[in-house]
Amino acid sequence: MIEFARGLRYAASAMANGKDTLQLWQWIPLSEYRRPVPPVHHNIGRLWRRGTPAENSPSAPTLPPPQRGASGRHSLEEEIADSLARHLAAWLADPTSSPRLIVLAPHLGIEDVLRRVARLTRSPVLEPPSSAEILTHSEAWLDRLLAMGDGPVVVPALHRMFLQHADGLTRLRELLTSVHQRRGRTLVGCESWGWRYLRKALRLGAVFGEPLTLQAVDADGLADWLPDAGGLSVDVLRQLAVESGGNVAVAHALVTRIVESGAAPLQWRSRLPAWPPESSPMETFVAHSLLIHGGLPIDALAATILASDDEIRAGVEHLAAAGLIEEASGTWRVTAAGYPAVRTHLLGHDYVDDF
Amino acid sequence: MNELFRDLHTINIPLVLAILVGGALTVAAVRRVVPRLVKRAPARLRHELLPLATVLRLTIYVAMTGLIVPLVTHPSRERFVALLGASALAIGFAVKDYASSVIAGMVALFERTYRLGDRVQIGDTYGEVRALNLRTVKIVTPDDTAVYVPHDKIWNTAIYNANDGARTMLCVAKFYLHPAHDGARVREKLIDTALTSPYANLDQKVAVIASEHPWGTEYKLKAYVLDGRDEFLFTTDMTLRAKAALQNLGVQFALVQVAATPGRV
Repeated sequence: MIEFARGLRYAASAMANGKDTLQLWQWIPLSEYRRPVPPVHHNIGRLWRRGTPAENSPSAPTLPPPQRGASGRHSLEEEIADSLARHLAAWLADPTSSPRLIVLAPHLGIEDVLRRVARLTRSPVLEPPSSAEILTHSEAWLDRLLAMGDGPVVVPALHRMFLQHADGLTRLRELLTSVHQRRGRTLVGCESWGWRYLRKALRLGAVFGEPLTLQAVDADGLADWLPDAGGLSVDVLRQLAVESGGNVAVAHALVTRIVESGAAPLQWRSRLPAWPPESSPMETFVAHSLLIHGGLPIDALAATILASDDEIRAGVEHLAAAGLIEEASGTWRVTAAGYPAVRTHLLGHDYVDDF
Repeated sequence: MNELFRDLHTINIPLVLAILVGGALTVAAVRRVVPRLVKRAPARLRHELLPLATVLRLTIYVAMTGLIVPLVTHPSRERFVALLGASALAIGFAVKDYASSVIAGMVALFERTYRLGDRVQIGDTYGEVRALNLRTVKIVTPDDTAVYVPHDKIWNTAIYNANDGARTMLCVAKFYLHPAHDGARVREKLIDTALTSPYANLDQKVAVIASEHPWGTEYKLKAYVLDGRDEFLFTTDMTLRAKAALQNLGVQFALVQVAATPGRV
C-alpha cells in the first residue's frame, strides 16, 4: 500500500511538472516504432547547402554549439525518466504488476533512466554482474534478486547481463526465468541492439509482453530539443532526424561535430565519422559486440571474439582512429556521432537491426 | 558458298574490325566495372547483381554476331539458313564439345544451376563460383586454387549448390565425445556457441543432431553463416569455441578415429 500511494503521488507530481515535454517523448509499443523517412531524392549535403547561407558570405551566421540541458531543462536521461514515470504511473502504482521491458536506442541512457525511476519509486536495483561473474556462472548476482523477495525491482541494463560467449547466456536464462516467475513488479531496461540480439538468439518475447520504447523524434522534436535550433533550417532538421534515426542524443552529437569541424556547406557531411574503407571483419565484430553489450572493457570484448589480443586491439584502434568508438572509464563504446555510420555498416552486412 | 559470303573487296573491313574491337573493349569494361559496382552495393544485393556481368557479356557477343554477319554475308534468308547449316555441320564435327559447353553455360545461366558467389560441388571440386566464362565455370577452392570446370558437366553430373543464390548458408561443425556426459547440457552449450558467434545468422534456427556410436557420441552443430564466404571461418569459430566450452563442462572427447565419409554433409 505504501508503494501504491507513493506511485500515485509521484505520478501526479510528474504530470504537473512535465507537460512541456509530453509531445517530445512518446512511449509506444516497440512494434510501432518507425524511423524518420528521408525526403525523396534529397541528400543531406544539398539540404545543408540550401538551408544555410552561401559559403564565405559575410552575413553567414555561425551555428552556436548546442548544449544539452539548456533552456532550463533537465538532462536527457532525467527528462526521459520523468516521462517514463508519467507513462507508467498506473503500472508503477501496482506492486504486483507483470514485468515490463523498456527498450531505448544507444546513447539515450536507458541505464540512467531506469536508475532514476528506481530512485523516484524507491525500488531496489539489480546491478549488472561483471564479465568475470558471467563467464564463471556466478550465482551471486542472481541470489541478490532472490534476496529482494517479491517486492518491486528495477533491472536497468539487461544488455550488460550476458556476454556474447558460449558461457555467457546461461545465467541470463535463469534471470529471465526468475523475472517471469516473481510476483513483484519488475522493470527491466535494455539497449535496442542488445534486445534485438537476445530476442533473436533466445527467441524471447513471452517474458515481457510488448516492450515499450520512445518514438523516434522528428524535425519538430529536434527543433524543440536542440538548443538554438533556430540556426538550422527545417530541411536540415529533417535530414538530421533521418541521419540520427530520430535519436536526440545522436542528432545532438552530429550537430556538435558539424559545428566544431567548421565544415563548409558542401563538405560538412565528410566531417562526420565514416566507416574506414580498408577495414577487416575484425572491426565489424568489434563494433557489433560493443553495440549489443552497450559498451565493453577490452578484456570482456576479447572474450566475445575468437582472435588474438593483438588483432582485437588493432581493430579497436582502427575504429577509434575513425572516431567511431571511444573509451571512457575503461569501457569502449560506439560514439554518438559515429553511430549512424556503424549502424549502416552493420545492416549492410545483414546484422540484426536495432529496432 | 561464294554466293553466301560477300566478295572481300565489298566487305567493310574497317567497320567489322571496329565492331570486333569495340565489342572486346566493352566486354573488358564489363569485366572490370561490374564487379566494382557490385562491391560498392549493399552486401545483401551481391548475389542478385553478380550475374549481371555474365548476362551483359553474352548480350554483347550476340550483338556483335548480329552486326557482323550481315556485313560479311549477302543478307537473304536462304543464304542465312545455308550459313547456319554449314556452321552447325562444322560445329558438329570440329568443336562439338566446345559448343556443348557454351550451350550448357547458357542453360546454367537461365536455369540458375549456379550463380556467381554460389558455393558448389561439381564432381570432386568444391568452392565458390567466381566467374561464368563462355565455356567454363571458374571455381575457387578453399585452398585458393582456381578450377575451371566445363559447363557441359551439367548434362550428366549432379551439381551440389550449398547456398543456391542466397548469401547465407548452412555450416556444420562436428564433435565426437566420450559417451559418459550430460547430453542436454552439451546440446545447450553447442547451441549457445553458435548463437554467440559473430558470424552467425540469427534469423535462422540453430540445430544440434546427436547420434550414438560404439565409440561415443557424435554431435553435429548446424547453424547458418551470414556470408557464405565465411563458411570455413564460421565452422572454425564454432569448433574452437565449443571445444573450450565443452572442456569447461568437464566433457571428455572421444579418442577413436572416425573414418571420413565421402561427400559433404
